[in-house]
Amino acid sequence: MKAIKGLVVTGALALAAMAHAGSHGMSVDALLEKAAAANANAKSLGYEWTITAPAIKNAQKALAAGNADEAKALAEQALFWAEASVFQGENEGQSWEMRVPR
Amino acid sequence: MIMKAALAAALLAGSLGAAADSVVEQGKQVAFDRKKGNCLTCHQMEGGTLAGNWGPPLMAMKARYPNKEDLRAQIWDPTKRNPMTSMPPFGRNGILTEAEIDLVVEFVHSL
Amino acid sequence: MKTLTQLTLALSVAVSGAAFASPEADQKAFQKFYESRFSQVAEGDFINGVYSILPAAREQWEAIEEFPPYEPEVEIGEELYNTAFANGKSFADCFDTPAQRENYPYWDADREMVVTMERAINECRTANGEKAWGWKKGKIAALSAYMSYESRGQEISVTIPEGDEGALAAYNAGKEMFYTKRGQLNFSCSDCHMYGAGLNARADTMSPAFGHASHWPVYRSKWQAMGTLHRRFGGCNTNIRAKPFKAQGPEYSNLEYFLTYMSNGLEFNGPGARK
Ligand code: HEC
Ligand code: HEC
Repeated sequence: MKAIKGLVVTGALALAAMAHAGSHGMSVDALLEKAAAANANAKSLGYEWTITAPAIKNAQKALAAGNADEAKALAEQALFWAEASVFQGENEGQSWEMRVPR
Repeated sequence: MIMKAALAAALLAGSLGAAADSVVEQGKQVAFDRKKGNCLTCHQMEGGTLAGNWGPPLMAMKARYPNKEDLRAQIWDPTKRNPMTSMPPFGRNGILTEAEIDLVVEFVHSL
Repeated sequence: MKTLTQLTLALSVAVSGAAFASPEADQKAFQKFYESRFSQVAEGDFINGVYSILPAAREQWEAIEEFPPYEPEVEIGEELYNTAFANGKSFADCFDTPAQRENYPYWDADREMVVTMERAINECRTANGEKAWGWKKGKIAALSAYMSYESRGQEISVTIPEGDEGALAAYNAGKEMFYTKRGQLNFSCSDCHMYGAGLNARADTMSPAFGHASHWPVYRSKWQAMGTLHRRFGGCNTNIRAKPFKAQGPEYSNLEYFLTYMSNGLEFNGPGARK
């Protein structure tokens, strides 16, 4: 059962990662909120990356400084990384056994 | 979309100044930069020094990859072709931007 | 949907074969992997890390070992061991001998957790009203260096108590940590220290994981100081842009449990000196 759920989730995430272009219409705030949520998810899976939280912070700083374009690029980057780390966690949970020598 | 990627590349890869001449030369810079492609950690490549031997030397790439898209796919996510590989998925994990990968593909294809 | 279900069923059957392999079978296959990949390495020599497979670098390392950089730390550790706490007691009231390495890590069934030697050191302190030391370097590394030095030659013989579900779960969690790809750069420990062992990343030859737990703490020239095994775990995770876990938290303690169990049969030879 767990395996089935994992696969479905994995598939959905793969789609989400590919449908990423769809996030271009989002505001920086919305992007950052989504990135923070995905990063929290990655953390709870044990798969947080070192670079995601700093990217979110830098985007917030750029936004506060009025650099809208830079803030948006950084927020998109952070969201991409956050979602990729969640994908990694879901995917690895299913596939690591192939590396165990027998 | 392409403009966005280029913008992100310009923002995040400040190193790619206007001074860089050809696309191949720019790709080489991304590939050799330790904070970017860092391909030399694993691959011997012409023009690079202090290369590791974790992966095969990259040479005669036009013959290996008549279709550039296949080369791009290998760099974007090599685990698709070989799930056991240790080569990082430069596109899937956002290690390089789409624009940077395009440049690296041009460079590697020239080897 | 039906095909998806069938596929996942088939997958989970294939997968569970490896996931539920017994620790004994895992250990045998693990050791065999390195013994056949590096058939030139003499029995028991994997405790010398990358130097077991690099004869050229080994000479230089052995010269360093003649005047070991960890020696002053061992002396500091001995003093710490023998210095009384404020309540008049000392480490000798917690440990019957400083030669403790062979007893760790172990599964504490009552507390349902893996206990490492460093944890036991700090628990001795707090039980006697002293503040716990930091986990990664400094005094804990010095005392651990002394205790390891006194333990040299003991056999690694970690046990996973038969029929204890919790111990098996801790072992399996450590195993999963070792084989899962992490961080933006997408590496598992096994990518580097198993399938990459003996290969060069730039100029660094990657060491076999067989023997990884034998020689801690280590004096690293890069650190210019001693560090514990969990400090090293954190470094290897950070390098691949994976957020490291807390030293002595369950993740790294379970990893140590797995990794040390994989090296059963080898000798403890800490403290060590590495680049
Ligand atoms: C961690 C080591 C590592 C890094 C870093 C790495 N690779 Fe690789 N690469 C490999 C390995 C190992 C292979 C062998 C194929 C496999 O494992 O599936 C490979 C294969 C390849 C191939 C296929 C070669 C062929 O003959 O088909 C190409 C092309 C390639 N890498 C390009 C790159 C580029 C470009 C970079 C930098 C952006 C890079 N690699 C970075 C390890 C690495
Ligand atoms: C990208 C490759 C890479 C990954 C992934 C990696 N390491 Fe390392 N590790 C190294 C290198 C390089 C060294 C230094 C050379 C050596 O001794 O292997 C090292 C050193 C070590 C050492 C010290 C070896 C000794 O003899 O003292 C230990 C222990 C270790 N790593 C454990 C781990 C564990 C556990 C993991 C997974 C959490 C891990 N490493 C992940 C590359 C890696």
